[in-house]
Amino acid sequence: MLRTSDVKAYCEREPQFDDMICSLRAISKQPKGMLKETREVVALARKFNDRVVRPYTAELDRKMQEDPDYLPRDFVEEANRWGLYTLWIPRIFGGKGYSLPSICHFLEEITSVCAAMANLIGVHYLGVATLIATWNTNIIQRVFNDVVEGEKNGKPCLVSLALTEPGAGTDIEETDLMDRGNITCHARKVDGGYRVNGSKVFISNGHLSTWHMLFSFADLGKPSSNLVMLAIKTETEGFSFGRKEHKMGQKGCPASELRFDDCFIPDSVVCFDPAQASKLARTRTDTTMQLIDYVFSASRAGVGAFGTGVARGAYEAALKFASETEVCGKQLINHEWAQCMLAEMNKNIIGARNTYVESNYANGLDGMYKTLQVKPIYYLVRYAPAVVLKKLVPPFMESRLGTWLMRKIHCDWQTDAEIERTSGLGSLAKITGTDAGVKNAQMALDLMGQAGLRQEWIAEKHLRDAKLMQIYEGTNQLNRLNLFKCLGGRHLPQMSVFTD
Amino acid sequence: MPLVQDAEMQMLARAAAEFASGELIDCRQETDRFPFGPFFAVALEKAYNLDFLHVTLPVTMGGIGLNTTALCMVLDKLCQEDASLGAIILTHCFAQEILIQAGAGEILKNRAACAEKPENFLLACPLFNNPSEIHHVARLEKKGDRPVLSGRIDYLVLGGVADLALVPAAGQGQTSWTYYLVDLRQSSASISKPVLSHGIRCCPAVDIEFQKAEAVLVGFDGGGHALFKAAAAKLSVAAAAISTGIMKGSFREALTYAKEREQGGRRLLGWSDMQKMLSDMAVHLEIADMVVAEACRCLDQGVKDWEQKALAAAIHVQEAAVQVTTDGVQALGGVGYMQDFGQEKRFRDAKHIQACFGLTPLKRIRLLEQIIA
Repeated sequence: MLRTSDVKAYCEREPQFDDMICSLRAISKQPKGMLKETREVVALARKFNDRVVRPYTAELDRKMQEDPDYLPRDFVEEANRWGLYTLWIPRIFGGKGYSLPSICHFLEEITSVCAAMANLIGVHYLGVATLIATWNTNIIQRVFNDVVEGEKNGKPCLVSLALTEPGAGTDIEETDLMDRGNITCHARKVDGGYRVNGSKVFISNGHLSTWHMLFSFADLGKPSSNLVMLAIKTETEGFSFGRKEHKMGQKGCPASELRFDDCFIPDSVVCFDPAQASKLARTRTDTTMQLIDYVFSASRAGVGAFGTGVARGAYEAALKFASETEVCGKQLINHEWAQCMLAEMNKNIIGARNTYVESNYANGLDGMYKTLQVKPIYYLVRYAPAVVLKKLVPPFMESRLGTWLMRKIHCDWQTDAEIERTSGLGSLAKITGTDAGVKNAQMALDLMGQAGLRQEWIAEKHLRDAKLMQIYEGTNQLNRLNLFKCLGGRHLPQMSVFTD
Repeated sequence: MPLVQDAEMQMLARAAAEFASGELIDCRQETDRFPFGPFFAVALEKAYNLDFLHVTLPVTMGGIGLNTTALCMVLDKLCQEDASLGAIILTHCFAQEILIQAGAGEILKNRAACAEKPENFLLACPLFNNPSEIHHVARLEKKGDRPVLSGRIDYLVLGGVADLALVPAAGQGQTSWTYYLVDLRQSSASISKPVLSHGIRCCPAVDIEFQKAEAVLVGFDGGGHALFKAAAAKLSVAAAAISTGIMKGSFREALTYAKEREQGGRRLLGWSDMQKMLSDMAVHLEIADMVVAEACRCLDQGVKDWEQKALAAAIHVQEAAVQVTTDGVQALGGVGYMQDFGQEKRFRDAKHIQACFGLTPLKRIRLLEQIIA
């Protein structure tokens, strides 16, 4: 009916076909093993919820209210015993190598019971993803070795991402804003490394982490083209923890201040800096944005899963209440208005889940998960004996060739359209999931009345927890602008963002 | 509020505003941790001595005898800084209204005359449940001729503070219910630790277990629903005033922050999306102010169908407050989520107050029922 060229032309019109149904494009390319893995991961999450999370949710929240400075090391150690901090570290780096998109489903499950504990696990992978995004294979190998070793010796080794600054939240997430913002975390090049001065705030899991992926800048006059990403270990001289924030919700997951006072970081843990950026195809500023997008495209899908989970938790609390409570002489669950409210909440959950799944598909086709989802690589990495992988991979990873090749594939060969697609859908997943979380939690309280106000029902905790999700990983306002920038007005030459 | 007209009201408004900024702000963060932090006993005692708890109590019963407008104005001013005290006043006034409607004003008069401390004056009651919706009532029994109560009452607001409670009860198998007054100091009333709650944490609630606790009938047998309905209609406007106050505090905080905080090299206030968010908040609170004022006018003047107007006002304003306080946190970003600022507390308080007098969706259905009737 249509010539191939016509099909191409029509499908490239806005909205572009490739942006619309990533699932359909991905389905034939995706290794079948991923479905089995995802099923396993969901089952594991449910078991972990039954054994660990659900019995501890209300207690941890209460404990944090009683003593806001408490650090839930007990939970982190338990999660470590369950192997949850290496579950999504690729086997080539010594982890269990579960497919990365399955983490979203895991997080949805845990968050449906407790967002704080989901963060105590999930935020570690935000640090992991940030490290992977640098594709500095040598340092990736080193940090992941520590994480794996921490699992073996019972001393959890978590990775955090240190991005937000006291004067720069949104500004540090967009290169269009960076140079106009108030960014102060300075990394000065010195012999053999960098000297860092400044501070970071609201760093999730900061106090509990061993490695911190730090965003710092070699030139504060033009940070957008002077990104320095460093892997910093907790005991490093000149590095210290400041205050731990007292939050409304997600109380079990600490939000930490990280301070750097003339802190020397050797070249061996410089993940990325302007000299390395200069070797890539894009400009240094575009590379900075690409790197941020690369991380957020994956992590915002994760936050979408958090939002979906909290929306589900609120729904499940409301459903339980409605099934156990008589209102005006009959079960609440049999009132038509209540059924419609519960259906609306379920609609929000399913819609939110679909957006993070779509975002995952995009990352599998065009983003962070791309290489590991190529079928031969997937099966090799997933099923080759560990001893073979150990012999083959470390020498490659520790060589410059490893870093060069991975950066070629993931940075230079990633097209602008692919960046826009993965980044835009990441923002969509984040907004949709987190708005659903807040909305459902509010609806649950409406439905439950007096019971919903009591902390033991957890519904109100879901509301407190959900609100933070609309703020971290870029506020939902920033994510709306990013969605517009990436997938909204990009075909209109007169469009510009952050030029209000 | 637009209705602050006469000198007495203006003086009261000023006093409430000064009290809020002088007594409530500094201790807000710490007292919000209650029961893990201190209860604001000192602030409550000062509020009691300044007669904020006596505003609507008739002069003949030892009060100031002002109308609902005055009460709303006080609540609006107090709750701009901290809604917990406002919720205490609301709880007490709700119970007080039921006693007045039931012709039990003598009890109020005696308490006002004899009370040395707020706890001897205040009345506890289950503010957040409509017993006709969810039948959480004590079991009415007889000990000789005297009524005694057994069973459990959940979420009795001020139960750990006041020494007297107004609770619903019904005989075995009865669907109609009745209010009773119970002295909480008697040993047959077992009071739990404060319930850990979503918001207004310094207006604490407890669960209470009665074992043949002596009680005094309020009104007539089976008259609980009518008393609840009448008092809730009147006090729903006061609950809306609390929400309006919370909204105002949230908006003010957000605007101040937007004027000071920089993003992308300019004030946050200079970005049009932030302007839109703040203007949406302003629209909500301006309308809320007018709606509450009009509802007060209708109520105080006894305008026909004032009950419908009061209920509609409360539904609208409380929903708006939830939206405004959600945006109020968002406007401050991560800072708004931290307990150092009042925003996250307002977010919780607004949602908490919305649950006054029963399930939110059923209030809409009740409104329609009133219109049809």
